[in-house]
Amino acid sequence: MRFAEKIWRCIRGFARVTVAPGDREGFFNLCAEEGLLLTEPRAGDGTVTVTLSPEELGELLALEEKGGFSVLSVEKRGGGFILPFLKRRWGLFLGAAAAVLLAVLSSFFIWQIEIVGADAALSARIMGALSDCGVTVGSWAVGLSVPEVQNELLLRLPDLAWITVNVKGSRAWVLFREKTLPPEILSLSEPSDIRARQAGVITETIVLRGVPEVSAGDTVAAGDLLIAGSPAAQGAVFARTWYEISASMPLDCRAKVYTGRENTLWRLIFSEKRADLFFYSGNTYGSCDKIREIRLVTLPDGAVLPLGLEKLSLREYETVPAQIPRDAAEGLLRAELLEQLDARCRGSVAKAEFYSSLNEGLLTVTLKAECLEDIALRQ
Amino acid sequence: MKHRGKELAQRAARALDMPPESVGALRVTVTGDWCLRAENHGGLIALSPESVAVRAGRFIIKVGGENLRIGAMSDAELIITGTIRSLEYLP
Repeated sequence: MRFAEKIWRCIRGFARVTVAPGDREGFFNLCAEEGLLLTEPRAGDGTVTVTLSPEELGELLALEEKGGFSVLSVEKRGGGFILPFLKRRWGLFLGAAAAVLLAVLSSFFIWQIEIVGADAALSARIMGALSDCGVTVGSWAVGLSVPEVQNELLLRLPDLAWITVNVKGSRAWVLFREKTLPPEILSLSEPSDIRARQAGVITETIVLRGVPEVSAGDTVAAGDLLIAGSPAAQGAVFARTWYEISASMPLDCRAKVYTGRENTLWRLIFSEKRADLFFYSGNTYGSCDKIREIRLVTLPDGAVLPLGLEKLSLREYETVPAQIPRDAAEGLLRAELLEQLDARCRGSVAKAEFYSSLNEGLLTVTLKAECLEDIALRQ
Repeated sequence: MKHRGKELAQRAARALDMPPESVGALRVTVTGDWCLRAENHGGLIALSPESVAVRAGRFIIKVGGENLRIGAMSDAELIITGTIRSLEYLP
């Protein structure tokens, strides 16, 4: 049987009927005389299995008494048998039609806004500005004037160089670039001095404008005058500086131990609304990890519908006393201290040494560092 | 009587140079050695994997072979599949 015929047969429906004929040849002849088209007949042990169309099945069953054969089994398959069954289930058709209508209608609205490459604070600002421009979750997507929205957004967010809003189906995504701010312009007409930001021993003084007050080898304290302005001072003063920074942490802590109790809660999502799928689906655990997964219905063209499921996995844990290994704690504190030094030193680190002490469960790490940096501070 | 009328019609068709199958004459088409199509057959007489006998008016055609079986059957057409080794006309 050709492929197209098989497809057509599946659409039309077919029945595999097994009969026990008294006379096998007589059964074939009787069916042929009655105009039944028997396809794929298979002879078994005293039985014959034939394939018939839905209409011919009724005729064969009507022939059972007259033909002297008995029908042993009937397997009904394909559309011809399913459609009459579904015809009485009008609710199914109504539901399917309603779902299609809902999908079509919902694709006219924006249900998902994605801001690409923004941190939480900037995302919130952009979302706020979009909301002011009338673009929110649930707003009308058809006929949205994207250039107008972009211009409005640029006016509302002056720190952005450009912004673009792409709308496809019910999904909107925002791409943007932040402005690179120009460097501060030094006003030469305003009187200003250069003072020491940090205590140290001067190694080099570069004066572009003003009168130098210190020279190499001088020791200065924070706030000392380095270059006097006439009227404005300009220059760089390099010095050897020393830092001593400490950080502490207790080695006693509490660690999570999972109890093995887990629960999964399901919620139906419609736009911004959440509905519990069960009458009682609250969290009964005291302390637990919560893992939230949101799955929204997405059409093949990428349009996201406002309908979906939220899966909240809860994993209960208890906290028990624990001890942090000293090496691990010291490693954390050292990394923290190096970060602090990096934030304070504006040059290179010539030498850095760590000292640690443990006192009543409190680990203290001290960093002693020698740096070479520009200590000039214009005031 | 029925056979005689059919025979007369077939003779007339031959005389008028008409296709005999148009007046109910048996037409057998064999494709390779695996498929035999019999149009205007008169029904099955015997069926086994080694031979199939089909009534065709006043004679019988007997198909011999291996794994013979009916591919499809209606009042107008009969398809026999399998390995066909012989085709005999029996009076």
